[in-house]
Amino acid sequence: MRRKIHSTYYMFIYLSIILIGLAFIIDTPAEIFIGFKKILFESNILITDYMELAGIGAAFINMALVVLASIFLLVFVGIKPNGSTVAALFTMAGFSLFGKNIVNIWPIVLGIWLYSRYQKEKFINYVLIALFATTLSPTVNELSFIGHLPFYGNVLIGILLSTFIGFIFPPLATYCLKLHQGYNLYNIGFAAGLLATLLMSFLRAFGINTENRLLWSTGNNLMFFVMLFTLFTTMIVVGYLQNGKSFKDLLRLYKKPGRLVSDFYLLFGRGITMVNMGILGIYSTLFVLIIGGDLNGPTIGGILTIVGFGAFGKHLRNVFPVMVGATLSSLLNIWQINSPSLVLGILFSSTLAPISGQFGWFYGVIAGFLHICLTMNLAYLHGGLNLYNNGFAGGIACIILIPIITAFRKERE
Amino acid sequence: MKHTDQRNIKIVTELMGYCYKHGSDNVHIDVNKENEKIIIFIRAQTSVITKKNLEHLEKALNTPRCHEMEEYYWNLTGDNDTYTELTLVGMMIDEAHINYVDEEYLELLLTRIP
Repeated sequence: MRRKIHSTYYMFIYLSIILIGLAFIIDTPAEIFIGFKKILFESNILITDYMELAGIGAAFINMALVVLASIFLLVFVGIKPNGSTVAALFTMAGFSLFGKNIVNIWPIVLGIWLYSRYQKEKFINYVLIALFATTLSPTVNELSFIGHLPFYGNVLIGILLSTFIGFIFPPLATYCLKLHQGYNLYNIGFAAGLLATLLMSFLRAFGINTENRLLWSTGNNLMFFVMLFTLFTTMIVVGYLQNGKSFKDLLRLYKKPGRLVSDFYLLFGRGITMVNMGILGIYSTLFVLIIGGDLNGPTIGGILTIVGFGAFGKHLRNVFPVMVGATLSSLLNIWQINSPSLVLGILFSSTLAPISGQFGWFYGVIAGFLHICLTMNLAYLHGGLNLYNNGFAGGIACIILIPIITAFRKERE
Repeated sequence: MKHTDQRNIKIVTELMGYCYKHGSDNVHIDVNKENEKIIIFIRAQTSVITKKNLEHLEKALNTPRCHEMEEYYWNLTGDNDTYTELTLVGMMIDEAHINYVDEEYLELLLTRIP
């Protein structure tokens, strides 16, 4: 095994250092310390915006630490960067603003490492699943610190149960791909949704329930817009330069349906992939602002996840129809379009981008429309323990839609 | 590694699907296990393969070997009749040689070490 910090990983390391610097400019060390304690020891279930819970500084520090820890894992196992690792790192970064923290991710990772030992295989084969599977990290906090369990040893039980979840997770994640045939990009969200539904059903059967939670910060749109716009513009410029000062292959990339496995990083190279990611970032940031949403932990998390999957299946052409369908649904349904769940639902509806990429914009709009209806009903099932709730909804939407679409659409010869 | 035979079957299914999609009605398949290696040879009669198709095939099947991607995504190969997962096949094999003999027979020789 050859351990090397590849240049792509250095980019994430620089970004983390900038985040740490920004944290200390925005908040004082004392504020960061108090906030960080809240992140570590309070409930992290959906929707817990760390910026509201702990302040922007503490949220940025947590984000930097989670990204650095993820890079440490990838470098430690000796994995080379590709579309999937880039997507995983951005997803880790995004969700470290609302649910994943530097402590609660480890029991799940440990469980998956134990699984790799049990199967007598190298951990490198499971490290991607391990990073994405931290979607179930809130389970650790929920069982360890919230006092649901009626006896001492909550922390131990929380950690052991989360480790066990990690241990049984990899086969479930692999199996779930068969169910939606790769049309749901957030596959782990689907697998985790099923597992968390089982776990929550079990806990509820014994009188343990999670309370509804909504922590949602507002009023920072201008500051975050400037930060995000700077980041994404930089990505486009760097990508343009790395791609031989051209946008060559961008149109070829747009022609890809985006179904799993579409590794743009390996297929087209880092340069044009970064351009695609930057464009998606600017587009989704503007989308949030146009529908009247707030830029905060969860929505920035959503935007970063879209950007990450810009290396692994998403591009403007396949994302746009699905998000239009989701927006249309939000305008017509009984909920406010700029309410937290709907803004997140619209952003994460892009998990179904491969449907529009493969079958055309019309089916993409329908998928996005139905995705919103599903996502508003599913969070109850897992009690907010699965951070990728939209991946769960996307998986179910695919299981229903894909057989119907393939059965009734006219095949193009 | 679990499901090794199943993975080999899926690779073959995926490539057979590719041949069918490119107008072949006549596909011969040889799969040999030699020590730790699995050698897959496919010969398909088809006269519609373009230069662009060949370039795409060559590039996809020569995607760098990625054990971690195989472990997670192998279930997706050979599972869809509207889309090919050639890049994923590329990640699951160690070597690929492609020949288009007399512009009538497409020959694929793949080596895989699980």
